[in-house]
Amino acid sequence: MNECILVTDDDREIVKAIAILLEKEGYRILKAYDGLQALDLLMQNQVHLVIMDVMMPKLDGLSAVMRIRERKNIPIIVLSAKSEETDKVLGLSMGADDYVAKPYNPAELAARVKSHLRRYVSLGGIHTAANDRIQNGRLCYHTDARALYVDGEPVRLTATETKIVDLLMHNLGRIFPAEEIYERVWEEPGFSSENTVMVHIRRIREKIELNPKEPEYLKVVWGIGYKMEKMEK
Amino acid sequence: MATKWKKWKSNLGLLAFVLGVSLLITGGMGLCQKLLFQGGVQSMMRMLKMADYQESQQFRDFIAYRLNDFLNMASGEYVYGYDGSEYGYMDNTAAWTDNTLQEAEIINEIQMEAQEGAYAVSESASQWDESERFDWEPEYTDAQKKASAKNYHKYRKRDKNLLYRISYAGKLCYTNAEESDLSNPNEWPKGYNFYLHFDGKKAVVQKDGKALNIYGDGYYREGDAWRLPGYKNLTGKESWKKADVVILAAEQPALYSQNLYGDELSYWVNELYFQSQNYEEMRRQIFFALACLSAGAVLLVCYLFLREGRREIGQRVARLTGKIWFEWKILLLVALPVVWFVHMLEQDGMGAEIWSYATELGYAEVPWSYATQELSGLVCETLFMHEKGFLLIFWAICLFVNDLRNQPRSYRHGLIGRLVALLNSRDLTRSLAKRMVRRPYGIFALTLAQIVCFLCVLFTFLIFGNQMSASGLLAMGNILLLAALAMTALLLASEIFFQKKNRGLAFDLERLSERISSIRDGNYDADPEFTAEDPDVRHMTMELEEIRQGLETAVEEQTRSERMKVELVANVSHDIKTPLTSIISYIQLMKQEEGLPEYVADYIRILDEKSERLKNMVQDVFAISKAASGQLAVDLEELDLGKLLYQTLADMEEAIGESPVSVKTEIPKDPVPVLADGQRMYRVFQNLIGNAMKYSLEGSRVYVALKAEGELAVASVKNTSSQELDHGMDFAGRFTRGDQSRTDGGSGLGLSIAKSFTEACGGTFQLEVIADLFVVTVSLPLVR
Repeated sequence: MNECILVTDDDREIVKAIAILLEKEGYRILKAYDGLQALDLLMQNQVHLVIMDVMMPKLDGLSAVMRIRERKNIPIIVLSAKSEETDKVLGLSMGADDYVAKPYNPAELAARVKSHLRRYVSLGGIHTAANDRIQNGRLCYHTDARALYVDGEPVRLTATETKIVDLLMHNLGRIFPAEEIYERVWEEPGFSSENTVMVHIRRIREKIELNPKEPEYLKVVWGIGYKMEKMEK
Repeated sequence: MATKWKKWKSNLGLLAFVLGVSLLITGGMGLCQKLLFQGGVQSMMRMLKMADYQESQQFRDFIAYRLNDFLNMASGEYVYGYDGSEYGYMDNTAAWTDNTLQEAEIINEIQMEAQEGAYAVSESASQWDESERFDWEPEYTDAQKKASAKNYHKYRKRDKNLLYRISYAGKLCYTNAEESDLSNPNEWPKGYNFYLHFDGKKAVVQKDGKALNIYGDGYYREGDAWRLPGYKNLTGKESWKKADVVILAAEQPALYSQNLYGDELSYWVNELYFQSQNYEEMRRQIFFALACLSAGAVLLVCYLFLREGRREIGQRVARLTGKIWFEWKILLLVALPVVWFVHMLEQDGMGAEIWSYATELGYAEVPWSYATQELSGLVCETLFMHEKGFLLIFWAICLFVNDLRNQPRSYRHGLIGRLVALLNSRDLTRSLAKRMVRRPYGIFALTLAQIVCFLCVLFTFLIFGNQMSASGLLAMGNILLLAALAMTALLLASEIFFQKKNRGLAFDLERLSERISSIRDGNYDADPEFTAEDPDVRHMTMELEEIRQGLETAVEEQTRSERMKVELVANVSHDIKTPLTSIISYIQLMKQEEGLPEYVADYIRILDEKSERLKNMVQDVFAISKAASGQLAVDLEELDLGKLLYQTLADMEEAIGESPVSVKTEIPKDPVPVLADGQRMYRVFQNLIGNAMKYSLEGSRVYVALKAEGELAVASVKNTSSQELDHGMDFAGRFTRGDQSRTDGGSGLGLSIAKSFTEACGGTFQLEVIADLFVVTVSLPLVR
C-alpha cells in the first residue's frame, strides 16, 4: 500500500503542485485547503504524513498541528512563507517535525517527505538503543562497522570521509577546527588545511543532507571550525 | 448660610485668639512681676488668702523697726535722723542733691520704693539708720540723743494709725494716745486690732484679741517673720531692759494729713495707711492678673474649637498688612521698642537708676555680678510693669511674622524693593552678553572705590599728619579709618551680591551644558526639573526644550516609520513568496517534463533562473530592511576572523575555480580574535568575494587581506574592476549595481547587506575606489 500524505494549504495551486510532485514519487495524496478540513480528513483516513501551511483560514496551521499532536504521532512538515529563525523555533515547538520555508525547493521537499516517511513507516519510530550505534536524528552510525545510515539507508563513504564522520559522530556538538580534523584524520600537521577539509565536508554533506546548501547536520561554525549538530530527537 | 457661618466662626476665632493671648500675656507678666520682685510665691499665697494688710511681712518689719525706735527713745539712745542736724534727711531734702554718688543711689532707691510702698521706704531707711548709727553713735552727745527722740516723737505722734505708749523704769515717757492708757485693754480706742507689748525682755503680740506665737523655739533665724528683741540669740540692748512699750495698730488705717505737697512728711506720717492701700492694690493686681490668665486660657480653649480657618485668617490679615511698605514695618518694629523703653525710663525715673548701675559697672570696687544682677533685675522688673507696651510690641512682631510667612516676598513691597525691581528690569532689557560683561565692571568699580577710599586716608595722614596735634590726628584717623572700614564692608557686601548672581548664572549655564550633552547622548526624555534662574538662560533652556521635543518626535517618527517599513517589507515579501512558491513549483514540474521542444526547455531554464533570482532578492530585501531598522538579531561570539576568511574561501572554492579571476590571500597564521556573529560575517565576505569575482577584470587577481591594526582587525577585499567605476556612486546603497542596466544576476543588495551586517556586528564598513581598484575594508574591534 502506498503511503498517504495530507497536503494542506489555502493556495490550491501550491497544493496541486505538491500533489503532482509527490504523486510522481508514488504517494497517495489527500488535499485540504484549511485547518478544519485537514482535521476532518485526518479523522476519516489513514494518513502517514502531513504537510501543513501556517497561515490559513478557519484554523491556522500551528493550531491544527497542536490538535493533530494530541492524537497522532505521524510526521508533520510545516510549510511557511515565514522564514525567520523564531518562526521555525515556534513551529517546531508546537509539535512539527520539520519546517520548510516558502518558496521551497521541490526536490528538497520530496527528499524530506521521503526521509520522514521512511523513518516513520520503516523504522516505526523505534530507536534501538544499542551500544554500537550512535543515533542522531536521521543519522545512525554503527561504530563497529564504521557505517553510516541515513533514514535507515546505508551511505557510501570514502575512507577519509568515514574517518571524518567517525570523529564527528563520536563527538556530537563539539566544534573541531580544520587543523584538528586534518591532524586526526590525515595524521599529519595541518597547515592550510581549510580547503582540504572543506572539500570533504562538502562531499559528506551531499550524501547526508537533504539540502546541502543549508545543512542541518554537518555545519560550519564560522571563524571557529566544524561540527556535527546534535539533534534533539 | 454655611459659608457665612464659617466666616463668622473664623472671625470669632481670631478675636478669641487675640484676646486670649493678650490676656494671658498681661496676666502672666503681672504675676511674674509679683512673683519675681515682690516676695515670691509664699507671700502671694498669703495675700490671696487674706485681705488683712497686717498679715504682710512689710507690716511685721514695720512694727519691728518701730519697736526698735521706741525702745531707743525710751532708753535715751539716739534715734537716727531726728535731731534736726546735718543728717536729718527728713527735714533736709534739698541737701540730698549735692551729696555723693552713694547718696544719690539712696535717693533713687527711695524714689523707686516710694512707688512700691511704704514698707520699702521704712525698711531701707531703717537699715540705713542702723548701720549709720552704728558708725556714728559715739559722736552723739546726750543733747543730740534727746533731740532726736523728741523729733521722732514729734513726727510720729501725728500718725494715729499707730498708737504707742513708751515708758521707762515705770515712768511714762512718750505716747500719742494721751486720753487712754494703752496698757489697759479696756481703754483701747475703737478700730485698733493689733496689740504689741514689750516689757523689757519679751514682746507679747495680740491680733483681734488672740495671742500670736512669735519666738517659736526661742532662736532667731534669718527669714523669721518677727524680728523682735527677746530671742535667746537676739536680746536687744542692755538699756532696753527697763523700757516698756505698747503699740496699737489700726485695723483700717486712715489718712491723717491731706497736705501731701506742702508737708513732705505726710507720706511718712501716713505710712501704715499707704501700706494698707498698697497691700490692697497688690491684691487687686494679683487678682487681676489671675483673672486675666484664666480668661485668656478660656478664650484660647474657645479658639481651639474655632480655629478651622486659621490659615485663611492669617492670609487675610497678611493681605491687609501686605499693603504697608516693608520699610514702614521695619521702622515700626525698631521704633516701637525704643519708644517704649525710653518712655518707660522717663516715666519712672528708672533711667537714672539703670544708668547708675551701668556706671557702677565701671567701678572696680563694685562686684560685676552684683551690678549686672541688679541691672538685669531692674530692666526685667520695668519690663514686667509695662505689659501694655510689651503687648503692643508682641502683636507688632506677630503681625510681622505672619506677614513674612504668608507673603514670603512681602519685602519686595517697599521703596527698596521697587528700586531693586526697577534696576532688575533695566538689567533685563540688556542682552545676556552685556549683562555678563557689566557684572565684573560693577566689581571693578567697587574695588576701585575701595582703593580710592584707602588712598584718601593715607594722603590725609601724610599731608596733615605733621600739622595736627597728636589727639586731633588720632581722632581724625579714627574717623577716617571707621569710614574706610564701613565703606569696605559695604563694598564687600555688594561684591558678594554680584558674586552670588554670577554663581547662579554659572550654575545655570553648567546645567544647560549638561542637558545639551545628555540630549546629544540620545536622552530625549523630558526633564521637568530642568530650569534656570537667569531669564536669558531660562529662555535658552526653553529653546533647548523645544529642540529636544522636535528631536524626540523626529526620532519617534523615524523609529515608527522604520518599523512600519520593516513590517511592510515583511508583509510584501510574504505576499510575494506565496505566488513565487507556485511559480517555482510549476517550473520544477515543467523541468521534469520530457519530450518538450528544445526552445521550450530553454524558456523553462530562463524562468528557473529568474525565479531563483527573485527568490534571493526577496530574501535579501527582507534581511536588509531588518538590518537597517536595527531589528537584526546578532549572536556575538569570539571567533578567529582569519579562519572565517579561510572557511569562506573554502566554501566558495567551486565558484572561485569557475570564475576567470584568481584569489590571493594575505591572512596571518596567528588567530585574529574578534567578537562577531559568524553567520553574518560569513555572509559579508561571501558577498564581497562574490562581488569581486563578478565584476573583476578577466584574469586579474582578487586580494583578500587581513591584519591587526592597533585595536582593530582590518579585513580587505581588493579587485580590479572590469568596467570604469563611477567615483561619485554610492556602492553600498541599496539596489546599486556595477552594471546600471540591471541585467546581471545580482539583486543589487550585496554590498548594502554586507555593510548593514558589519555594522550590526559593531564593525565599520569602508569602500574606496582608486582608479579601477575597488577596495572594501571591514574593521572589527579586536578582542584582547
